[in-house]
Amino acid sequence: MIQQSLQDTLESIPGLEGYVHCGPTGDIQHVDGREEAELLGLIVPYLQQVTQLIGGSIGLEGLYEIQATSPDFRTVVLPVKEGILGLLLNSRTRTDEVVQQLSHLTT
Amino acid sequence: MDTTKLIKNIMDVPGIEGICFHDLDGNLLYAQMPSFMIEEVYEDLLRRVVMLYEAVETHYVPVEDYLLKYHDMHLLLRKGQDFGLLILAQESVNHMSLRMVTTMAVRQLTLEALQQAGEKTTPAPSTNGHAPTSPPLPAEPAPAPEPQPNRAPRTARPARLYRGRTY
Repeated sequence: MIQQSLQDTLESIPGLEGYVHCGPTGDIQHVDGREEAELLGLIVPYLQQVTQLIGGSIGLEGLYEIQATSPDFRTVVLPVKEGILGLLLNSRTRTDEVVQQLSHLTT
Repeated sequence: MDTTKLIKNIMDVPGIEGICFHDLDGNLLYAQMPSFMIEEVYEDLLRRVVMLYEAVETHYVPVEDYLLKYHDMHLLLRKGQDFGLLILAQESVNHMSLRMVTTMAVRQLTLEALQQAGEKTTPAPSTNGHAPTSPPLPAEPAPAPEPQPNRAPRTARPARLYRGRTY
């Protein structure tokens, strides 16, 4: 199952403090970890849409990753084959390595 | 440290294509962006950036910066106390270096200093902090006025005289 393989992959990521998996229509499929993960799930579709518009304003296309740094953790949003994945990572985690680790899931 | 130097520190990071500062109402304060960024672009762009800041802070958590990765280019958005900073960079840019110099800028620059710096510059020219190599383009001719009905033509015909009087 896709959901199970996604969970297995995520559990192997060091520094992962929470995550949310949204389906293609933005509905939350699975959420785990920090309570902010659920909040992230609610805004992920908006986040993706507005950042596409921001890029579009200056002719940038093909948004493939969003990173947002907060005082306590870092948020990473990635489009995956089955929707959108939002990750909450420890601030010290090497984000690029995590994204690389998930590259087989991303679109 | 002065405004020009702080901005130059950012522009000197290899891979930086442009930078602009805006207030938190989405008004442009200062821009040193590639020439394709015409002035009209900023209104929509900055309105959306401010919208993003507000929505995420209200419905999620406070965010210090965003890194948006598009094919070919990256955008870094940082929010200071009373202004925002937008950086256009190549994919190859070193994000650690960029974050370090922008942290300095966000901490040391003020809205007033940026407004003053903005008055000395115009949005558009310059790429990567270097002076443009091509000569400036001549100013575009003013657009022709819309034709208006019931209005005398601009160039009047030469007066015609008959025995010293016009007719």
